[in-house]
Amino acid sequence: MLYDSVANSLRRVMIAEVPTIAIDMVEIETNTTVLADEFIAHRLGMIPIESTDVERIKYTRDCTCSQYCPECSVELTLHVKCTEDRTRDVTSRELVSSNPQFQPVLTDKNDSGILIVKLRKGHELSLKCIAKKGVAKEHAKWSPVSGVAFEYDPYNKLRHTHYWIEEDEKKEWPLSKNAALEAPPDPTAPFDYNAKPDRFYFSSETVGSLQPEEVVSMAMKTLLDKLAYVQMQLKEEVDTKKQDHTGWGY
Amino acid sequence: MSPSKTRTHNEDIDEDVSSGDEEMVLAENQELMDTDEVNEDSADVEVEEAIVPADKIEIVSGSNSDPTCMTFCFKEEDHTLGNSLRHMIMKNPSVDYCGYSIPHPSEAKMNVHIQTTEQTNAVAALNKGFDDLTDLCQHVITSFKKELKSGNFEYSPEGKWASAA
Repeated sequence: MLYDSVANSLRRVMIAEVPTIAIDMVEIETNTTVLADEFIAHRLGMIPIESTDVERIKYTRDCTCSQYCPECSVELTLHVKCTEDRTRDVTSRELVSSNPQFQPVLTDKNDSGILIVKLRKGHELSLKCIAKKGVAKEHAKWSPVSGVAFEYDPYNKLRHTHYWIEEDEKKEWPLSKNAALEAPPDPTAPFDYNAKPDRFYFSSETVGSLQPEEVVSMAMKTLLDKLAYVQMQLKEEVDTKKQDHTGWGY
Repeated sequence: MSPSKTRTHNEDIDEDVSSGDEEMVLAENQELMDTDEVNEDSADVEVEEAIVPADKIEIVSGSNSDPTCMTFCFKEEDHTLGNSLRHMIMKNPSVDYCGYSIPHPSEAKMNVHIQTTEQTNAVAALNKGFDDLTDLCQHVITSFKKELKSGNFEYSPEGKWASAA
């Protein structure tokens, strides 16, 4: 049985602690567009990058290199110059990745990509991006999900919610779709004060860097890793305390 | 034009990760700023200390005398670990009380207080809490993967949320 507290932890990890790849540093060589360097750098940071293989990339802080290297980063370059008389759109499709496993996300072949900037004749944009592994705890651009909806007890059988109403609760508070997956309450049955929530409905939409099912399994794995790490640290702390206070009770 | 380096996330306006989580994000950034400052004006050895937290867990002093009643201070942890751990520890029948708190939003610290009966002690109860939570997560992973393998699922149509009424 899953508990509400753990289900909420899962939701929180999905949002803020599942690692993905996102552009973190931008080196601008030429920028004669109408947008400022920082503005473009910010837009680049937000572009989702296919992160199914994030496990293969290290966090820069764990890497042996001095600044960044292929083991802890992906390099993406972009060079576009408008030579024609009409507006030239620069999209995420123009980013050339150094590692084919980590490309800007496209939904299908016809996807035009994410618009970065528009160029007029003579405008030029040339830059180098360093994409790194990170988590949304540090910056939201690393979040794999755009939303996680989380619900339990759609009929409010447990009475965890008190609905504010004007006249009629049933009319003013339509049931969620998840209600179809549960038996409706028996209006004559007495209130079961021992009942605990045991079914949790998650509904998630990702930004494209990972598939929703990948986000769930990676979130659970992240949670497990965190637990193992903290428990190990606890053992260490208890051991050192024991040495300090030799006469400790156990 | 000379090349200019820009770290994208310094210029960013922080977007809400989710309501209620902003404080955590802020706290994280605060931490980053602190370590950055140390990086700039001190030797390499100290940089090492600034990045790696010396103690992930600290047994808060003053609680050493009584092994059945202790407070643990977790660095860089939040409600994600706190609430679920508290819940698992409270499930243990030999635990009288367990509670957690984050004393200040801009300090990345989380305190867990445990009070047990005479049959056990706080450290053992905390360890059992970790074990139970690990087992639960393991169970969720295996059953999720099993269900996923059966292929009995479909993606919700684009732009429509499955739970929306």
